[in-house]
Amino acid sequence: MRNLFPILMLLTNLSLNIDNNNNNNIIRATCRETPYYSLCLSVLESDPRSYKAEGSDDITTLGLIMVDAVKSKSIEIMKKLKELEKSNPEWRVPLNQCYMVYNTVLRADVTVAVEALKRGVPKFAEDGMDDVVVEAQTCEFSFNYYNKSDFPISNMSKDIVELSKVAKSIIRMLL
Amino acid sequence: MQNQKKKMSIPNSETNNGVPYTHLPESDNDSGNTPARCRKTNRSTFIILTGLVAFLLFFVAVKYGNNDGTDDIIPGPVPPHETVCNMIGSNLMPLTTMRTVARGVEEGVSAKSHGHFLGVRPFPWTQKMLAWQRTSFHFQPKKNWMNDPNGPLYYKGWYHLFYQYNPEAAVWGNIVWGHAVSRDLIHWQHLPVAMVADQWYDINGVWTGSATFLPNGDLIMLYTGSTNESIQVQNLAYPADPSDPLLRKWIKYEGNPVLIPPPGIGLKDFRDPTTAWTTPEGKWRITIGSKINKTGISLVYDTIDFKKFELLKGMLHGVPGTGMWECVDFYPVSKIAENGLDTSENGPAVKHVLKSSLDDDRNDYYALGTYNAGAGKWVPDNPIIDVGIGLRYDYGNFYASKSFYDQEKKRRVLWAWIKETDSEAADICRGWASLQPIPRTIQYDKKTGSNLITWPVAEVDNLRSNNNEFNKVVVKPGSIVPLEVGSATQLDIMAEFEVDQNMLKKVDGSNATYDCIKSGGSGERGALGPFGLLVLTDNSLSEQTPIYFYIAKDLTGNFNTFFCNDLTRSSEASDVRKLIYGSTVPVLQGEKLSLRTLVDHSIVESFAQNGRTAITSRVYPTKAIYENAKIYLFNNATDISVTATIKIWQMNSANIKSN
Repeated sequence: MRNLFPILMLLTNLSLNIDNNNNNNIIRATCRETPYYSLCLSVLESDPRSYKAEGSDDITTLGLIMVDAVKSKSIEIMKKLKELEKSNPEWRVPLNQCYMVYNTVLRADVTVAVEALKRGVPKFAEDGMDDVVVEAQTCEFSFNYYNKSDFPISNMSKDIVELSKVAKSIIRMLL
Repeated sequence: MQNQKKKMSIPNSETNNGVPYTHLPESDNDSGNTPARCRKTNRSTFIILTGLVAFLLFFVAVKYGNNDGTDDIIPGPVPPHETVCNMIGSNLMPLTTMRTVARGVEEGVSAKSHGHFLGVRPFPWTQKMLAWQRTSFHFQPKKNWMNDPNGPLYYKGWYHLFYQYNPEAAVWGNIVWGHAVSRDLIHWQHLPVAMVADQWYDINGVWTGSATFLPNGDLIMLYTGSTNESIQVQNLAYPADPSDPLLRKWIKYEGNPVLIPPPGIGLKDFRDPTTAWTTPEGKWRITIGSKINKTGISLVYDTIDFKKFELLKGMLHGVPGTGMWECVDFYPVSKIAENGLDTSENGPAVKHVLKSSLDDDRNDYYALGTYNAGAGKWVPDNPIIDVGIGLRYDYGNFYASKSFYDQEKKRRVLWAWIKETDSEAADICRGWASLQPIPRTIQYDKKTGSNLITWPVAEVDNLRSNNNEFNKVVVKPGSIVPLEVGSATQLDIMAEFEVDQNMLKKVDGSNATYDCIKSGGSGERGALGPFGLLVLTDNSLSEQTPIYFYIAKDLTGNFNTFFCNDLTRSSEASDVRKLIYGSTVPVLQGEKLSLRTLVDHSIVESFAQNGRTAITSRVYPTKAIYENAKIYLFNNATDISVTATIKIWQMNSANIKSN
């Protein structure tokens, strides 16, 4: 039985490869299923892994690329929060809460999503991307709670929410 | 004594209809913003001072705990909860009724999967609030993450529960088999992890499995492993020492894996083997959930020794559009006897239940049907309510369930994974995630003939103390009645509601359709509902968790009864999902409406009509906790009074022990 195993895997891979010879179409088709087509397209097309994605792991790789985009954005936001802490000390209280929730995005939501995608249990990856929205809202709410002025990371927070929703849509295709 | 209690407890019920209850449907964009803003200004000095102190503390913690640069923004393992809690341990948010503009509500994920974020306080959690959320008589690990129940069984005087467990964090990952034992399904003792990911065929996870007893009393376990290439395979394990009633050590069969995904099945769509049952030829048979495109299916295998398996042609059953079937369960129920049936039983007085956990929507669906042992096929009694499109065990938060036959008490017992519905930041801070429900017995509903009955195992009644009874309390339209029971965070509540039959006849029918989930919740008033209980509710009613009936009468005079649980006002915290759960519940001629609710801190389990419909929810109040958690009766119907008779017990803690 153990000898059969690699052979079966090979056969399955070969059969799936046949319909997947045009990756660009896969990227477009995938992005069409998400709520932000052009955002999705720009992220996937800028990552060489999209073009290498092959066979049965196509969508998984696209999901991983999108989760990576969420990761990069969360790092960008955390750096910005650190800058704001210095430039706007009066915002320290909400900034601290924002840092805490984006730390959760980076170290829990993204980490879980990557592990779950790699291991083939996309539902946990979906939960992680759903949570990004909740955490980003905590940060926004927290800032609105204390300050009337526009929060300088609101745009980034909108970005990460959109990225996580695109990631969620892609992940749902794997369920 | 009970009469006296009644008078003391219900001061307003007869005199002035209690507190008017019409403010429940209060809209989110009402004028409440104006006074709230004033209050905020008045408090701003306090906030700034508190904030400064908090920041100083935080600054010290961060300064000496971490580098100040951006080097530390590198994704790594989930942070230990102390780190996160240091950041939020200083409760920065003052208690207030301020309502912020709920920005982001519309852009939230679809209401169906997510619900609304109507909270007003961003991440308000103090350690005291989070500590309150831990349950007292439900099973949960000491800390960290749990998901599916695995291989439940009864062996040499002990109930065993294995479960998907992450020993390292309060989020999913690093899955091994946690293990606990109990004499009575209620008082548990934690044991060391039973199986870890240490072989190429399960190195990426020791996933869900089921136990089977062989006729000689031997025990085997089949479980899914995620291989070094993340391929899903089935593996065999057995107790290292069958004479150990605690089954602490498990041996994995050296010939693992015993099953790999068959041709045509995705390498990651092949998991969660069932308990085996016997075939007419004397072989063993199991089923494993999968999918083909979007059709959820259940594959069938026969075996003699659990090492070599033969795939049957076709499948046990499949339902188009239901997606991947996880944690399939398949078992007989008796149409005549009260007791449960061992998985291999069959015969004319038996129906077979097929259950699937749908990966697509994360709910557990079942259907009653007929099993053809010769062909290895099952057909539903009613294709309209087939698996995945009809009935559910529970219309709330309840997934990845697994049943087992308890040979000691001759009953079938159900476990499940009750997940968190707050933010992962809160879970990490709290240090744990997920619960098991109180195990439920499963029976065929002989009265309706169309559904199962699930009910908390009788042993939970042994935790009851301090009975309070409230007899024939009249709750008039638009009123609310407090029930004085002392602390209301650990309760078992049995309530019956009588509705004036003449009024039911008099009320005009309506062509409006009702649906718990799409309705306006407990605040949407109809002629004949909603009415029921408010649990985990504070004195000001700013946090409340209504559990209620809603009777709908159509134009032809037919009644349809709904059983719902509205979480939209269950917490002021912004990072909590607040759904409305519920479904219809069959009510037969002459039956009173009855409900039972178990409240145990952050879990509320409710059963209507003795278990025909169940709803489990997770609740995370910020005010209605400890001594401020209260219970009320309410009636938001416009045309009928209801008469309620209620028994409420305080529930003792089950004191889960560690080994």
